[in-house]
Amino acid sequence: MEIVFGDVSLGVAHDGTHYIFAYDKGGLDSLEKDGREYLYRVPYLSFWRATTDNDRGNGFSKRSAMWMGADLFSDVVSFEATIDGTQLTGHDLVAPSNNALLDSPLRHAGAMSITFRYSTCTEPKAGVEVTYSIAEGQDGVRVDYSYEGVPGLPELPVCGMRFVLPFRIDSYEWDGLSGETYPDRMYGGRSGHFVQEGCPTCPYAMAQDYGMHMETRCLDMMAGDRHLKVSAVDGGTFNFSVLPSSPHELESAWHPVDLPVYRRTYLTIAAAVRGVGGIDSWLSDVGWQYHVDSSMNHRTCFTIS
Amino acid sequence: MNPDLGWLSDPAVFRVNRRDAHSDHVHYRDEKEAERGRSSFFHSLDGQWDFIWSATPEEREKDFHRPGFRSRRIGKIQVPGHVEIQGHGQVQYINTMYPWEGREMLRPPMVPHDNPVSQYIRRFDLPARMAGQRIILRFDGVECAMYVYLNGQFVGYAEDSFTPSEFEITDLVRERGNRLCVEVYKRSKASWIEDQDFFRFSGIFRPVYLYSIPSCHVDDMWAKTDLMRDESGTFSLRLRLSYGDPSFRGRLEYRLGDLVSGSLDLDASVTSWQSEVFAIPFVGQYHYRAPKLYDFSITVYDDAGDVVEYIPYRIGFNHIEVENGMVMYNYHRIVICGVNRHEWSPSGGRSITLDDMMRDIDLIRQARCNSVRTCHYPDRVEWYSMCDEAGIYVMAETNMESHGSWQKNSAVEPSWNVPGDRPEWKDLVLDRCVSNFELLKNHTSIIFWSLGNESWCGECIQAMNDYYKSVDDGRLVHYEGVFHRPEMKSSVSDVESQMYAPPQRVRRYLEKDGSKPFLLCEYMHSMGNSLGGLKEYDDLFDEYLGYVGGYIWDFIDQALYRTDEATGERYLAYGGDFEEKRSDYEFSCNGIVDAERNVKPGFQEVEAVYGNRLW
Repeated sequence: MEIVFGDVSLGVAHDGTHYIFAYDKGGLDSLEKDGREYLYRVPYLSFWRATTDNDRGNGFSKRSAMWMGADLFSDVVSFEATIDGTQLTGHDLVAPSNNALLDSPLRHAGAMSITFRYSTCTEPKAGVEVTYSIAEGQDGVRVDYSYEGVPGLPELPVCGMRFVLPFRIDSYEWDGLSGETYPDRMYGGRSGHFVQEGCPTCPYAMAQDYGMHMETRCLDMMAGDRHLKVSAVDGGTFNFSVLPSSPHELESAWHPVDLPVYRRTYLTIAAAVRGVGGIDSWLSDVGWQYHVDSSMNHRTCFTIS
Repeated sequence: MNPDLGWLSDPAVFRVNRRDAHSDHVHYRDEKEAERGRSSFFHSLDGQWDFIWSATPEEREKDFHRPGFRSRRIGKIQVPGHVEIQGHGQVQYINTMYPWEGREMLRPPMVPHDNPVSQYIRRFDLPARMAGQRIILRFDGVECAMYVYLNGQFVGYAEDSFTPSEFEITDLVRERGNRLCVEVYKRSKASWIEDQDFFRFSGIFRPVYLYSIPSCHVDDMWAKTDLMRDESGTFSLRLRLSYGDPSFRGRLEYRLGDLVSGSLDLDASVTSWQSEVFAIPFVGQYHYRAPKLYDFSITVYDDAGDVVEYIPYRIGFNHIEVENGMVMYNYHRIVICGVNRHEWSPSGGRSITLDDMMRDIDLIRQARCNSVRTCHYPDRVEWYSMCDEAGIYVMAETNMESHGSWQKNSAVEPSWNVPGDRPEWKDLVLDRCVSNFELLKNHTSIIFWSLGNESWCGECIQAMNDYYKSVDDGRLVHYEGVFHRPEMKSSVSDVESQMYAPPQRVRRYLEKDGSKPFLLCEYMHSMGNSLGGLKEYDDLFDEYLGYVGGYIWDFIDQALYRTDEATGERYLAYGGDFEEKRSDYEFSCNGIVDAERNVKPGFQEVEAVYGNRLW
């Protein structure tokens, strides 16, 4: 693979795909396959789901409102890369240190990874580390997401990454559980291969979070001649949703019809998801085993190709 | 008796000239006509009626029922249908608060000044086949109080929005040129006990028709059955008869499949009759997995041997009782995997079609439910026969909820609860039980009579409980509201009924008290993205013999079609979208299916949990 040591970004060309990691934006800014772009912006750190009726009823959103801001804004603290075993700090990668890399053999490498460290816009602050790895013989880019909890923060509605795809999708298919599933509503999910035609619209009269898929092995998104695949790593699973709206658009809408025209696709990969509850919609909390504790660490990994 | 607007706020007056409630059997000319399914004794008055709407009683046309009345105000309206959906008055969704909250300060039985009046006019000729016979005028549902006039004469007055009201009009009806006038009030004192969590509508919202009574007619029947432990059964028949011809002489034959048959001689002196109790060596049980029904029929012959009327019905055998702290159905512990169902259509509100109902049956079966609670009023009468056929056990609720009279802003505060202990309300609420029982008593699928919902508890509810117990020893009585009056628990409700209790509270009851079987009349509030944790309730069946099960809240979202002014797009509007105040907004949408009957994502959870438990 070819490594491009830019002044503000790290480029990687591998297997017909070109990746650009933006130091300034803090993440993967471009994923280009066959001349088509797959990313609209660097991925968001996902900390919010549009308040469900039960979240509103039991006061969860009020208690955890801090995470709504953290979902919109995050702070890149540092980054570093490892290329063919050579560690490069952020300082090594940017100008003028990168002048030294003009003739480096690392420009043609067998394996690379780049790690971004973030600090959440909360008080106190928690840490997040995202590592992207690309290697010869490996399909696509592997993403390792790690949330590092601290005491003193409210519970999380969700914890992961949100990719904004600059296009509409025609369908997606996944290997995992049927239908929409959440941690406390998975019993009815049958295991198998399933197809969703179109990007799913909000099935609830009041706009709110929807469309989560727990314990998935593989996801394929189709959009004209574009195709994006997310795969679990090492026999594990991941949780995802593919929605035509951001959590903030859903949060602001009263009805699905109030939502903006579907232009871009929001792919969320969640390390942890809060249950939806159901005992009632005005008082009872979600079962304790389905809470997402913000003082714990939450991890997920997957590959995108 | 002269009609009086004072009746609207007088708990002592809730029916004037309204006929006694009776079983919902349909009479046909003969067996052939019954097979075709359309009785020529009946004549529908549904369709477009003349209509005047007034925002208050003062603005109504006081002479609209008089012959020769003319007015430029007369428009058209579709019957059946709510008037609000057809552009007359405010659409409002509100839960426990009374609809006049923040606008008028009232206490029961006062009636708000904001009380829209719908005046309906329908001209009709009597079909030739009905001429010269006794004629009954029947309204299947009118919300919430009506004064009826025919050809200028006062016919009668009725309330109880969800129960059929019948008036005999034989002496007033003409062969041609009849003018039926119905004055419907949106509010009456009954509004205090029709405070269900739903959209507040008014008008003639269920079918209206005439039927004729031949020379001899079975007014009421009760084909009562029981299933014994050894799979034998018992059957008895109770009849009430009336005669269009006082000189009638003839014979009545009844037949229950190949199991029982008999006959009796009739003349006009025979107005009630009770058969012996027949013992049948073997009967197939009625069970949700095998809803075996037997064809029952009554044929009335005149003395020339010609058929006067033919009545078909479908009857099954079951047995329900409480034994050792368990609810036993056909001598096995029952497992209720149920759902509460409001009648709903996104275009018609609670004015629904038979097709809507058939789809509901299919969806309820698809969700693998075995029981439905008719929250919180009697449904369109056809619903109960559909449940009989489908094997869906029914909790048949009385039309009553007075939630706002004892719970205010979530706090329990019963300072002016109705009906409570108020003697002046007792006959009114008892009449609702009588109507519910008499209309529906032949339906095998009904296993519980329910005293209504969330009305607190007091002497009136005690009397309702005692009424059902006194007339029907073959079904259980259900009431949740006694939860708030523990000292009355020993005499009200056969089951401990609670709503929205977390699994731990169910456990606590069954372990610490357990004096009655435990039922969740509402649980798993399926509002929006919900239904998490359903499986944890299912586990209670294995842990406790006294756990009866529960009814999910609820079946279908209450939302109405509305057009987005910005885009012209049609959408499903919930409370508050009609700019009505006050409202409980999106709280109207708690279905496992959306208002258009698309299954919501949580549906597969119900299917799986209920399916594994029951099927």
